[in-house]
Amino acid sequence: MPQPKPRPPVELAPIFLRVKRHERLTTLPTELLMMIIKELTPGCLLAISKVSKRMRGLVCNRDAKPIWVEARRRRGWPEPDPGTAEASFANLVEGYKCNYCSQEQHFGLFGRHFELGLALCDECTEGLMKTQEELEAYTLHQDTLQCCVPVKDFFPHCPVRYFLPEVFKMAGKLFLEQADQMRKGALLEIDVGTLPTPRLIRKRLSNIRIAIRKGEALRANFNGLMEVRKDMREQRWEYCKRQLVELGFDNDQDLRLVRGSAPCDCRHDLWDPSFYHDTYEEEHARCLWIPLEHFWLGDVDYEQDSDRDTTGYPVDEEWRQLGRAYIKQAEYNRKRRLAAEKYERRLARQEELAPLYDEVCLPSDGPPLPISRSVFQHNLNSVVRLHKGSEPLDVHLKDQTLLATIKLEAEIWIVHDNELIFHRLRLALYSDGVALPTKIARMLDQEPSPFVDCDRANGLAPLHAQVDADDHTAIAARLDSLQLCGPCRMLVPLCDVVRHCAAHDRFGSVTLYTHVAPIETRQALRRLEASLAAREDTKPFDQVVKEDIKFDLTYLDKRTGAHTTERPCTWYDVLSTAFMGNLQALYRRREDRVITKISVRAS
Amino acid sequence: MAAAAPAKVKLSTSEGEEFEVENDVAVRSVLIKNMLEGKSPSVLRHVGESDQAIPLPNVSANVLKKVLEWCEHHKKDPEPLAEDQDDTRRKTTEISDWDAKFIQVDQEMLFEIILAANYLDIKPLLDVGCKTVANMIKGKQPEEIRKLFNIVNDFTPEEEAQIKKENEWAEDR
Repeated sequence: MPQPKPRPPVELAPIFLRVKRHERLTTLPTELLMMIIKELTPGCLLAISKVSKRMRGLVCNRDAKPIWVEARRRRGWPEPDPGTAEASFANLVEGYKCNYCSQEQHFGLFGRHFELGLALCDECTEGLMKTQEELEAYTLHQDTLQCCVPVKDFFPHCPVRYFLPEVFKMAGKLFLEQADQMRKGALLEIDVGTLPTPRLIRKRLSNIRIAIRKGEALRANFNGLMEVRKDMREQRWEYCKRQLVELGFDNDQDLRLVRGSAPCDCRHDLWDPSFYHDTYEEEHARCLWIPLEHFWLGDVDYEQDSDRDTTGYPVDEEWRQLGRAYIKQAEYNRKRRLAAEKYERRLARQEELAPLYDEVCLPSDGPPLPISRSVFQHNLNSVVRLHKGSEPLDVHLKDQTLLATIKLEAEIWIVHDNELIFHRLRLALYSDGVALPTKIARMLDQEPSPFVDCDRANGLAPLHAQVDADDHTAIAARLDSLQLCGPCRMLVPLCDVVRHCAAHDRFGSVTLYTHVAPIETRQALRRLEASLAAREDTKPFDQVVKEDIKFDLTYLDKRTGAHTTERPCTWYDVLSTAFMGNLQALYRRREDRVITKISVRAS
Repeated sequence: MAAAAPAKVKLSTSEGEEFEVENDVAVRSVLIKNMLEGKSPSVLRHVGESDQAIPLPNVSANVLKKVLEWCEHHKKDPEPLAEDQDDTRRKTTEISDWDAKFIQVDQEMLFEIILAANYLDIKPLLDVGCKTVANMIKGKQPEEIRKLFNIVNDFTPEEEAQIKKENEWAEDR
């Protein structure tokens, strides 16, 4: 071994020796660091890219791609899909965090979904990967699943599943495209020449026309975003609002009208189910959409205000009124056009409609159902009719044990009296627990409140800000308080609330509480609805219900255990008291007999 | 024409200590080899011919001692051809037992060996050092790597949040 000869030490060590101890790795020359980096695996490259800025600069730049490729090849991995970055691929294969919730997890055989390019933890996989059957509980655009990536299960006999956030995203996108398409070619044509107005007023009308048209586009977009997450909707709405204000809709009332959060005459006649894709869209569109697809002025119900300013411009309020008159006229035009289109559509679809066979299974007494609520708004006559039957809904609100009874009986009565409310009830029944709070909030926001401590114009909106996805406490407490009569603060049961308010206030508004049925029932009811809706396309609704579709009712006699089937009867017969097996009677005797199946057959 | 290499070579460290080593040990360093063969700059050409020590101002005595220990052990190793060097190093993924034991030093010494090997142009030793550091990094998370090498996290909170979101599922992706 070499023998060192001692020499007096130099005063100063070379620069590299004076580097602080704790910085040795990061202060290595770049070429040495690169030599070390080249020895790493893709997962280590990913980890080291998150250590410091310098490391990140070395690993995450365009010139470093060969290092990633080499590291991947050393590991024997295949080429990533085109468009997938090497770093993303490495994260998918060797990452240790869930790509959805960022929870750390040791990924074994399961959890890395190469089709999606995502690694999901057990919890996210369990909660967010849904089969096609499970997705039927949601209201999705019909083409949604065709646009989503199916993920095969590890076990070949299991059905493919879909990533729920992607499904929602795709559904929102498709709804948006659909909403945009619905206004394509919908040029506004206002025949201002028929109005005896000065040139400047005509110019102003032209501005209104443009404003309305642009507002229509924004409304259509907003409508399409209904399925997208709430925060995105709100952001979009803020954008819409800014645009609308720039267009001259600077009045709060106008903004709320455009958004559908204020009552407006022009929304009264928008009920035309055949126009919409499904009841969900119909529900939103009815609240939000003022169709102006083909627009010209006939005899506009508009009286020009003589109180104009001297420059010839109408005052703001005047042209707003005129704008509303246009909208009303557009409604009339649209309905005329729709009537013609509807006839053609019926002819075209008649051949497509196959005979309808479906089953609706009502559950027997099961576990307690999750509680939910639905709001019904209609005129006073409907309210009175609803409660004028031989056996009105005289059930105390807090009597939780009878809520199931309320649900079924309400449905029966509603079918008797009001098709519109029936639709609303069904809508609530089909809603899943996630979407419901938003829907409740939106519907309640439009509901003018007949009760004290609420500004009628604002409805229950202030309370809804407290409602989130899981916590219904605030809204439940408020709804409980509805038992107090507004004028006299008297504690009254539900039906009396209605009567009381009607008597005191001449205002008919009912808030009805119901349960959300289990998913199987909702799916079955949805199929029933599809059957009825399809029929409705070719014939009027009541005609279908009363004549066309026959039902077989199957009961279970609890005492004997025997199943009995009665047939055939129309839906109208089922509901009528004249029929011995009608639902009300059966439900009242539910301790003895339970409906186990309703078979719907084509006549 | 290059001068004949002497049997022994003197090496002078940054502190001025001198080491006298056999020629075939010293020539494991390409830098020293070039000096001895006269391929180095003219100012150093005469060092091999005289009794003067070769100055190594970037290498301290304890590091040079360690490096020479490695050179002594590997003095009979065949020299790889220049064009095959990269491939050979790449294929050699594992460190030999002796090298593994040799490189079991503290971090400070490890990095100094790497720097010295780089300065002296001893590629096999440099390779051993780099692979050792790489093995220390393997299987560790960013925070563990920072802790191991005392690296300061100089990302701003915004940058860190951005990095965290990099591979997350995003609605607008």
